[in-house]
Amino acid sequence: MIEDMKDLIELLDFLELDYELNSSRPGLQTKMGEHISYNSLDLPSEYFKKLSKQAFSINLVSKNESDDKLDTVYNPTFNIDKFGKKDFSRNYRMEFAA
Amino acid sequence: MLAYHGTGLSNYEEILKTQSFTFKKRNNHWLGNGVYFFIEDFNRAKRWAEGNRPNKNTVPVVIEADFSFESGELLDLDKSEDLDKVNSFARNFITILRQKKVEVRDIDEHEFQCKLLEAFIYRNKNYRAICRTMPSTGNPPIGPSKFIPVAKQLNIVDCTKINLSSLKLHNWN
Repeated sequence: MIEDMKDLIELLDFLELDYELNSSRPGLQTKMGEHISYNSLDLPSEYFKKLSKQAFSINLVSKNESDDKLDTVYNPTFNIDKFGKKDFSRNYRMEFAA
Repeated sequence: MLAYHGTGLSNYEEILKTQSFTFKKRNNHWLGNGVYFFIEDFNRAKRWAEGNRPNKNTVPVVIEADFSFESGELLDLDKSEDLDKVNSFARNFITILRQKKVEVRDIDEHEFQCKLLEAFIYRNKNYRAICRTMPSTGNPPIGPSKFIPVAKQLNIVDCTKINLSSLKLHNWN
């Protein structure tokens, strides 16, 4: 468990996070400018459950093969709604990332 | 347990030459940073090697390794007991972040969850590997059996756990 401020800072530094203490905007700020509050974060067990239901969100692999190569896109937050479903099933398959 | 790592032949040769297994750090490895294996599933590792090996100019291969873990060395996230430990750590970490009004920049929820696991391992150094089973859609999602295909992944966090002298190479090319 994290006991004090020294513990916290040591951990944040180890994780190589870009952080600010006593901020007026506590929470996560995504690269896209979205703010995620700590109250809305899932615990790991809930997050894994969510991932299980969205297996397709793990890895998107293009079916367009040439010279036995596959183009792979790692996309953990992939949203199928952003794709035309017909095009999606024709051009991609989904795989588990490692 | 037998576990399989899909990669390219040049990587395997580099491992033997340097006598070390290395990995590229990434913020979104979902079981944290480390060397990933498929547990008891050669075919998934083969498929991974064929489609995802880092260097496509070398032939795909699968490296077989045999692992055994002492009590407390493997964080098995398929077990509720281990999941509870990670949850408890996460609850404490998030509470402190909230109390200290910490803003973390350039990170999404998935990356944060990966960091949570890394933080847990950092604070619990007895763990040398993490495993978890997830559904996999590399095969048809539901076949005639109606079972959803799954893959059990093993992330070796501490590479000294890999016995280099006992690695077995599978090369089908």
